[in-house]
Amino acid sequence: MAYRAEDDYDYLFKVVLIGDSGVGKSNLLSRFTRNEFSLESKSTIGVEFATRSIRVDDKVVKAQIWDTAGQERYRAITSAYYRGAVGALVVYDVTRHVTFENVERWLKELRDHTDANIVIMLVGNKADLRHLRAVSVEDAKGFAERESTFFMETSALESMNVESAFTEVLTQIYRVVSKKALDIGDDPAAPPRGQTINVGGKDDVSAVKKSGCCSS
Amino acid sequence: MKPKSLPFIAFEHKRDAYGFAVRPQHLQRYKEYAGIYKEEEEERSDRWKNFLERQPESPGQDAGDSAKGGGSESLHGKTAAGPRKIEIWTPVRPSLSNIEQLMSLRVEKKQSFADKHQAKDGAHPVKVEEGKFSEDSDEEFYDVDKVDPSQEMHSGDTGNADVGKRSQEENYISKEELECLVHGGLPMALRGELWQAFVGTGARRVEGYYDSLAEGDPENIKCLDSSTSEGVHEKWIGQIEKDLPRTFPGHPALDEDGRNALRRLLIAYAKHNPSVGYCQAMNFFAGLLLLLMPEENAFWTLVGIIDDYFDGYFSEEMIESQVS
Repeated sequence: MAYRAEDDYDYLFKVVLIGDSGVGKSNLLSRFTRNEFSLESKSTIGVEFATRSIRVDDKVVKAQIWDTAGQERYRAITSAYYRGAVGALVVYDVTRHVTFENVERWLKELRDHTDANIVIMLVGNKADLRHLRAVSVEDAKGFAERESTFFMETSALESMNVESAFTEVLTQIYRVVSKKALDIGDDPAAPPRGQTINVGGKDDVSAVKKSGCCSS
Repeated sequence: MKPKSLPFIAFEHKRDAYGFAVRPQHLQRYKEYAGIYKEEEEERSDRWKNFLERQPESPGQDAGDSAKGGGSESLHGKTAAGPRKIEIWTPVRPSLSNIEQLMSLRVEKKQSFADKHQAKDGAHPVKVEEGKFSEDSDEEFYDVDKVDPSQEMHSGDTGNADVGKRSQEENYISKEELECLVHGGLPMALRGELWQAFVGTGARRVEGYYDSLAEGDPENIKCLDSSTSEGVHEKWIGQIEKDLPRTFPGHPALDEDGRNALRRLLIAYAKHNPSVGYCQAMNFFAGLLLLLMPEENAFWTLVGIIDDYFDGYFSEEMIESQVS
């Protein structure tokens, strides 16, 4: 097949962006999906999402990224949106230590509502504000190691590491999924039979294409 | 009510009628349709004008007479950017009083309920109480002419004679016509006042209440409600401060004065209803109301929207907002 439709993809992965209010989740999303950044952004209410496809090996991986409201009470509703997520970026603001302290609670929230195989990356955003730094790279790295998550510092403003952070998460998910597919002796590109290849395990939102991503 | 009185029309179509910037990719299309928007707006204005001219102005509402005619200009003059203190309460135009009364019945019921508790509560006659009514507002709207107002009142509640008197006044508003007009959209010049009439802002208002909430040091919120911890209030204020610049960023009305008004409004609401406090999204409600009406009117309208229409949606548990 030489021809490939623009929105064609091999894998669809649901990824959530969580973290305290004002750490820059929405700007990370807009930087990754539209290459846009706005100093005058608006508060996110509930959940918004955007998509972008990238290539991993010879496969097209489409990321469906869910951006959530940061205010604490919204966790009551945003946790419902974690369902089926196979990746997460837990974001804090390197200039506000309290947002780093709260990462622990965000991780707990995430692990309570998602599959154990979820790929998590700790993201320290606003790394461009060097003179205002309140969280050291070492502290964050140490924390990430203890929690077995990936870690990266980013700047949505300077477009630093944003691409790498998302790509890394998506690639890791791809590895997990294709390894799982190998384990059960299945071809990831083949239409799934009774069993859905899905690291989320809870529903079909993130899965190999044509496994009914819209059925739930 | 002429479209030329629209506050932001002078921005030459780079902004819409509310003053929001039109995205560059939509600007061309927006210009193409500007003539049609204007025409439609004129038609809407004429339809509403015609409707309101047929409404009898009820006696006892002459407090609003001064707003007649020049009312819309005086209201919208205040929405323009510029120096501003707390805007004083402005009643809706008299021709809307019938709609306001019709919609106020549900408010007055609740108010009289609250009055009963006033002896216990003392400080704030309208302060949100537990166990309040939860009837569906639509139902009430449509039932309002079928039920006997005296039965609507709660047993033992004879204190508010004004409720009965006002309810017994005949309302000759054709609901079909009103519904049809609403579906056709509200003209910009009337929108703020119509929202107030529908929410029953006038009936909700307690004189001096907003001023007492809005003035003073925001850090003193904790004095008003000892049951909630200090930290919670700091959290509200912190979140409000975060959201002020993130509410309609770039909008000309949200200059320093506009943001100060928004801050006062949100903090006042948090004090008024500590069980809700401040929840993200209220900033957009409040900001939009401030574009359309004076600050105190915006407060009472916000109270109506959050306490009644979205009761339970913005509370700490957000129980009504949850998806199963």
